[in-house]
Amino acid sequence: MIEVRGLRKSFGENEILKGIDVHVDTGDVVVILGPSGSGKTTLLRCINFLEKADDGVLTVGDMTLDLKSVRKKDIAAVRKRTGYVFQNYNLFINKTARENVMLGLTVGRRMPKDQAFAIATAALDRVGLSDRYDHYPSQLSGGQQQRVGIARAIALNPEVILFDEPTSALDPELIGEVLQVMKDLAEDGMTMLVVTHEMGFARDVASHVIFMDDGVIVEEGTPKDIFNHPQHERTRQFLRRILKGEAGEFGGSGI
Amino acid sequence: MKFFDLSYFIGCFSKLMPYLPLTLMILLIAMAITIPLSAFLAWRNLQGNAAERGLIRLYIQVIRGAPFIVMLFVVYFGIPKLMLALFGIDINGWNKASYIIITMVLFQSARMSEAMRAAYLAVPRGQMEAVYSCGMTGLQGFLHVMLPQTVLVVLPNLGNLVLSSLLETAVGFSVGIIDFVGNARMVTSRDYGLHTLEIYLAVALVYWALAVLLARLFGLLEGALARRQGRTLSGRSSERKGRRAARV
Ligand SMILES: Nc1ncnc2c1ncn2[C@@H]1O[C@H](COP(=O)(O)OP(=O)(O)OP(=O)(O)O)[C@@H](O)[C@H]1O
Ligand SMILES: [Mg+2]
Repeated sequence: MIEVRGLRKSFGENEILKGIDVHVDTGDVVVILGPSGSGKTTLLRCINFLEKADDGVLTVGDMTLDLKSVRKKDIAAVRKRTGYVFQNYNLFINKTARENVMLGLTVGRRMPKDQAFAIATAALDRVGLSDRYDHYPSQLSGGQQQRVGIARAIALNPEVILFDEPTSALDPELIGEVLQVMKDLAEDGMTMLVVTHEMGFARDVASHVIFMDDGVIVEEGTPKDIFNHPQHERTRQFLRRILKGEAGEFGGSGI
Repeated sequence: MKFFDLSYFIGCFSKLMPYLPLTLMILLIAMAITIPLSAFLAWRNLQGNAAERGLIRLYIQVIRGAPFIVMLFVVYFGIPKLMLALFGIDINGWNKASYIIITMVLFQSARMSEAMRAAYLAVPRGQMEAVYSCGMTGLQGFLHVMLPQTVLVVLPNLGNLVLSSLLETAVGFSVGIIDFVGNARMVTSRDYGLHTLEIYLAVALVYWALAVLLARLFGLLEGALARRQGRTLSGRSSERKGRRAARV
């Protein structure tokens, strides 16, 4: 379970997040939608302390933190319990796929090498990369890199994984393989908070959908609520624009 | 008189070579100090407070504007006076080689620290974010992710700077150091200036051979490191980039 309450974040004069509440129950998949610049990335970054929030309360499992005054050891504890999948994968360029997955275990958690090796191998198998253990990021396609990114997150056995537009840097024909891995994870009961523009994924996989705009949550509910009966004009506009683009450009993303 | 005396040319190497070790020693000591000092300066320039950064940038600017030989004279005449005035220590007995070593350290550390800083900044920002999100500390990320990548980027520049340091050793004679070039000057005058061309061509040939050797050494080192990081030297540009989403 992960929850934020009253999350606020400004960059200089600009208030980017204006009091955000998000709750993800264990085993749930919450999808965040919203136009570019609405603060989705900033929200995930604040949860993982890649950005320092100005105000708010964060709960992960049995741990509750006041974001105004966090200590180093709290940050480490939260990061230990959350995984993060980046838009641009951010694989360690100097490490093979398996080393990418192992590093957080052997170095971050001081796990013995052979144990980490086994976990990393299993994680790569799980994302369908059994034939790519020893490839470097530069030798992998975008879709494969992102699947290594997901394997790297799950290997650390987090309570929740944060996904920031995991497929938006990918060529259209590679999106499906990444979404399939995420769908499998969801079916296995992984708790996930996902920022995405993939409406098919939101509709089929999400237990709860949040629509954000301009630093606030405009509307939230089940996928049915949001897609079939959006209450706010801003939501309707956004959906119209995205769904039109999808039909025209991708014709659905293979999921 | 012959324009070029080949047998003298061949014979003069034996008079020159005994002084080469001193020149190499000067280079070696200077680099052994310069490289860690540059790394320290680059680190403080990147992560230090405003005062540290300001001071280092001033240092770099000042040093980069001074010709090497002028700096050598300033060091040679300035440091003994400074030591005497500040600490009352008489260092006129110092080995003269220490002056060129000091000058080389000052001269190259400004350049090298900038090369290191640029190389560090060339590593994508996302690498450290991935480090943190995987539950590692800044130091762990530096050692396992940033440092290996930074070293690979900086190596070609480092090689060039060490090479230019090698060439700078040649002006040590101007403050009276009897090293490779200093000795060559003595040999020319001992032979009544009759074979100046042969001697300096021999000196040039030795420097050239050392330069080739050094370049080859750095090339090998870079190749070995690149292989360990899964990169071929020409292949670095072939890294695939996914279609980047529109940036905010
Ligand atoms: N480090 C920063 N400094 C200043 N402004 C920032 C910074 N990071 C983000 N912003 C601003 O915050 C706003 C929200 O950015 P954010 O990346 O969270 O949006 P987003 O919803 O993820 O958009 P997208 O869909 O394009 O990824 C933008 O206006 C952006 O310019
Ligand atoms: Mg974003």
